[in-house]
Amino acid sequence: MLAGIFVGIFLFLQAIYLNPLTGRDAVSPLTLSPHQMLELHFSTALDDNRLISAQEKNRTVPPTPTTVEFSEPTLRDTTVFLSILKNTTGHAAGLGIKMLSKSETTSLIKGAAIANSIWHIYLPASGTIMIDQTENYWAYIRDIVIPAHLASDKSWQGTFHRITTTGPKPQGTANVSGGNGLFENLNTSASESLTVARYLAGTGPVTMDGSLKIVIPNSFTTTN
Amino acid sequence: MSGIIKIFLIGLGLGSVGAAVVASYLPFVNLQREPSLISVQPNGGAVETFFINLPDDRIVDAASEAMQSGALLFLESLDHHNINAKAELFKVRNQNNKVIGIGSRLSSSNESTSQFVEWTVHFPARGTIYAKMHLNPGPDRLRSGQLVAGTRDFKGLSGSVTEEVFPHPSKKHTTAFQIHLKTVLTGPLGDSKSNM
Repeated sequence: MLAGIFVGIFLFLQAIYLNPLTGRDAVSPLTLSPHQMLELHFSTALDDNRLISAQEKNRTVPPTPTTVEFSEPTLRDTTVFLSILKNTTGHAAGLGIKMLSKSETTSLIKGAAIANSIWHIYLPASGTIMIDQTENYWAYIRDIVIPAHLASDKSWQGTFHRITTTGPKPQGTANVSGGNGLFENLNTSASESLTVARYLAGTGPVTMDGSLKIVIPNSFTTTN
Repeated sequence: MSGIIKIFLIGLGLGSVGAAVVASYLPFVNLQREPSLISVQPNGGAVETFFINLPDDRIVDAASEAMQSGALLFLESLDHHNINAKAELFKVRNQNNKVIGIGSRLSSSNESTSQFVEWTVHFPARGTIYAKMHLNPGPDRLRSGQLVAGTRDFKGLSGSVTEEVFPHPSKKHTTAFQIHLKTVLTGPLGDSKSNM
């Protein structure tokens, strides 16, 4: 009986882990959009972040990882990420602050490791925007984090590319609200993707690049 | 032999069904909530004030003494743009002095398109408010602004946001301040009855 229970639990976990219907989106729903697309890239590599403290201008801030975590009970499942955003040619295009919280809608049986995240973005000479999105990190956990922890050298290496944005818009895209500058009154869609090449179980992703695609409606570009 | 297989199969069923039930009902994320301390104005607006103690609540470089030190200056030369923007990150508290969220304040006084000051305040268990403020504070150091967008609990709301800085006595720091972020939010946009 006990052996049957253990095998049953194991089979259930295998079914969840190997379920081909969850977390496989690698193509953005915005790909077919007829509108102009603003593409921004960010990296976790420290060298790519050139934020300078007002007090110590020679010091890179934050001094260690760009992701900040908290000890307060209400912020226990929340992280903040600061990054210089780059355009498609690799030049710095702006500054992005991402605030991400795990969501209570996370469900193992649905293959949903859900997070609510906000991007607060400033693009010089263009303006500011806020991106509100729901993200699913199940594919990232299943394809990278778990294999890295199971590997003998506690690392993962390969090619991983997924769209993490799953909402809150019905078509699975993020909600973009324009703030100041040329983006004032902008209301559009966006999606975020993640590309990982190397992950260490102890420290997290070593090489990870993120990409934000923001739809700029044709009517908006002509009137602004 | 067939009896052992039957018991094994019963165990197998119990194990897989039990695991499915546990996976369905076990909360993998359980966010801690603090009470929302909201008062209602006679005209129907819901008033809520959030507090930031400086320098303690500055997330990046919280040890700095002066109020403005520790802010991140975005000094990078971006192509030919000459910019002077400032990004600040804070922990945000409620009236009971409990940390309930994170706030980012972006500002620029040298922007070619428009100068700006704006806040994004993220509450993990409730949602986010995104507000843009007037550039120049009033004579009483009160900077007013308006809600641009809200998410989850704040979705569809409209209203005003004010930012005010007060000296704040502190045993730890010689110079301490407190930012008061006051929101007055009303019903969904376009709902004329609730906004009157």
